[in-house]
Amino acid sequence: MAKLLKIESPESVVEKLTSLEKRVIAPVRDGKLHRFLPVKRKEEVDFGYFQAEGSMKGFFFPATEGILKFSTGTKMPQVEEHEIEFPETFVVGCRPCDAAALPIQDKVFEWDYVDEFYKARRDSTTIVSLACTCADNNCFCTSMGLAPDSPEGSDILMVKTEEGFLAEVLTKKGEKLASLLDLKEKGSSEDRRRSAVSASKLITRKFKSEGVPGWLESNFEDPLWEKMCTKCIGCAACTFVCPTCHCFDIVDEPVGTSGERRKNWDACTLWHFTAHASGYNPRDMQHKRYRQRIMHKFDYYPDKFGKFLCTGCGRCIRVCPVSLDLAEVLEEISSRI
Amino acid sequence: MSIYSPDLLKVSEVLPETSEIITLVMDFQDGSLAKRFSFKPGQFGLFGAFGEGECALAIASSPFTKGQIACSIKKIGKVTSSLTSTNVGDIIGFRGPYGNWFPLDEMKGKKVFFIAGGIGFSAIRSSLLSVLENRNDYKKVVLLYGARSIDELVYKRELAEYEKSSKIDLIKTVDPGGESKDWDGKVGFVPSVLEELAPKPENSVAIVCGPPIMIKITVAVLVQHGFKRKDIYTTLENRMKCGLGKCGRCNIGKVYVCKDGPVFTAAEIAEFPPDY
Ligand SMILES: Cc1cc2nc3c(=O)[nH]c(=O)nc-3n(C[C@H](O)[C@H](O)[C@H](O)COP(=O)(O)OP(=O)(O)OC[C@H]3O[C@@H](n4cnc5c(N)ncnc54)[C@H](O)[C@@H]3O)c2cc1C
Ligand code: SF4
Ligand code: SF4
Ligand code: FES
Repeated sequence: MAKLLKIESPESVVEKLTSLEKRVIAPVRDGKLHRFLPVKRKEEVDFGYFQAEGSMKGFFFPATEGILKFSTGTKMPQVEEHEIEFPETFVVGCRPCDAAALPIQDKVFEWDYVDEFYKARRDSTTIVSLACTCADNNCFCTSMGLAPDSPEGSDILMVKTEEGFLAEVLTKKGEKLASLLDLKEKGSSEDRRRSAVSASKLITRKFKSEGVPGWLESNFEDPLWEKMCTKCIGCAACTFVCPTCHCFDIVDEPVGTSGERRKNWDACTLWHFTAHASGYNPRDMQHKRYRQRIMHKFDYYPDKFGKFLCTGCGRCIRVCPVSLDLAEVLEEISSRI
Repeated sequence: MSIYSPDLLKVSEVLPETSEIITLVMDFQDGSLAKRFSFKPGQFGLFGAFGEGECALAIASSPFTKGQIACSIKKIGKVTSSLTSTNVGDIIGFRGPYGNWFPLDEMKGKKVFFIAGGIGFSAIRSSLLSVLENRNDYKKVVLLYGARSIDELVYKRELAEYEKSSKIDLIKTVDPGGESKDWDGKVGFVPSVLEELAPKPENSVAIVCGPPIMIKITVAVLVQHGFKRKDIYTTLENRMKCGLGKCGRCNIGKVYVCKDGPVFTAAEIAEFPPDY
């Protein structure tokens, strides 16, 4: 059973950490949106937010990152490793659906070959999430086996109860932080239970997801794909805001005779993703590219790693310029099972 | 060293193959790696030209040649254009070997049909050289090789040797219109020439490499002649970036071609969704 401690507020956690000169990443208001940014003072932070525009994925797996430096000026190219160092960092106040994306990404970047860039960041980061107190109709975490207060991926989970804020310590990293913050007073598990009940009521959009992988496996060429997914324009916005999407490209970016080899986010919904050099493209139509996104998330990944490659955060639905609603496609599928 | 860091190879020979294809023979720069490095026929590498990028290429040399590898490259885009214009002494980045391989040991005691189209030959050359090195372990070795035109046939020097050799039966062909007056091979697409050849499936395996469409038709012809799908091997050449099962590029159904392949049997491929 997880340890329960009392905290004054999420802001107080930021205050304490910044006073200790720790690197803190937290939601910051940016116009109408919120973004995760490094902060120096608790006043910069806004925890009264619904969901940040992008997830915090980019702190572990940046949209673009150098993996190698080279210079080609001489006959013998000079190749230099990128330093893999990352300061100790505390993410404070991310949503549980974003925290839950981290163990999902861990599997990809740490199976068989370990991506040292990703791992260095993960190892030096502590995640303090904040359970949701609001949701919209695009949220569907409960259908993905999660909840507005689920602990997956968090080292400490902060929950608001009638009596104040509780901190649920979940991991060793969490314990270390709790002692750093000097958190001692114990909250009651009754408070926590009540908060969990009220959190689960937030999500109204629900469908049965258990049968989805099986349906996907045997209906690769169902007319549903063309019918529901042709309208995708292949802009990749959905994959870039997604906390679990992890596909990337490797490209050289030279400036004169030197430059960097970089890992850049890429997306299966983009037409050139699978285009062979010969001109042949196995996914020659847009609905096939969108189908890949769904297949990967709800059949291929679960088959390999045992859970969905989706936390139900709803970002892809909110951001899609043509209102292609992932949950609607999944609802249609689950209605057929 | 991160998993994306290349080893360095120095080009020791540049062999022109066709107007668009060259073969590079390369030595490992790092002496201890040169001693340590080994690979199995069918595996590939990510070859890089610094400033241009990396691309996946089959290792085309014999696994018995130590400290040195070769690959054959068709100029088609950014990286391949750069690699095909390298000179002796140039340095190339290499990551690998990656992927699985042809189970040549399991093929011992059998007739082996190598069937290749165009630059696809480079993906089976390593296996062919390996089989010829251990020729007595195999019953019969047949190579059916075709390209669009005479110019587009790679490894012409070796083809000339095979023609004279009793170790291997060579059938070479070019597409109709690609022949010249003095062409001494066949004229016709690989699958039709295979049809004429009527290969016997008993105690036989086939290794097929070439463009996707050629593979599809050739496999169909082999199956018609009684070959079991599990005895037909091929390599898939999906677009790749990482080679490590992470970037998502080469995914077909539940497999990552870079990790679970590139070598698959036709039986395995028959189970894939039509997404390759
Ligand atoms: C396992 C394996 C083994 C292989 N073995 C060999 C081999 O032995 N020999 C060989 O010659 N080849 C081999 N290939 C194929 C080889 O990898 C490709 O030919 C190579 O990757 C092409 O790279 P490139 O940078 O030259 O082409 P690119 O510059 O990437 O261009 C290729 C094509 O992709 C499209 N494209 C790329 N980027 C964009 C963009 N941003 N926007 C629009 N269109 C774009 C274009 O249509 C272009 O024509 C192999 C492939 C695999 C997977
Ligand atoms: S697929 Fe959509 S709902 Fe699922 S995690 Fe990604 S952005 Fe969120
Ligand atoms: S589903 Fe929507 S957001 Fe995603 S690529 Fe298609 S159009 Fe863009
Ligand atoms: S090439 Fe990156 S996953 Fe296969």
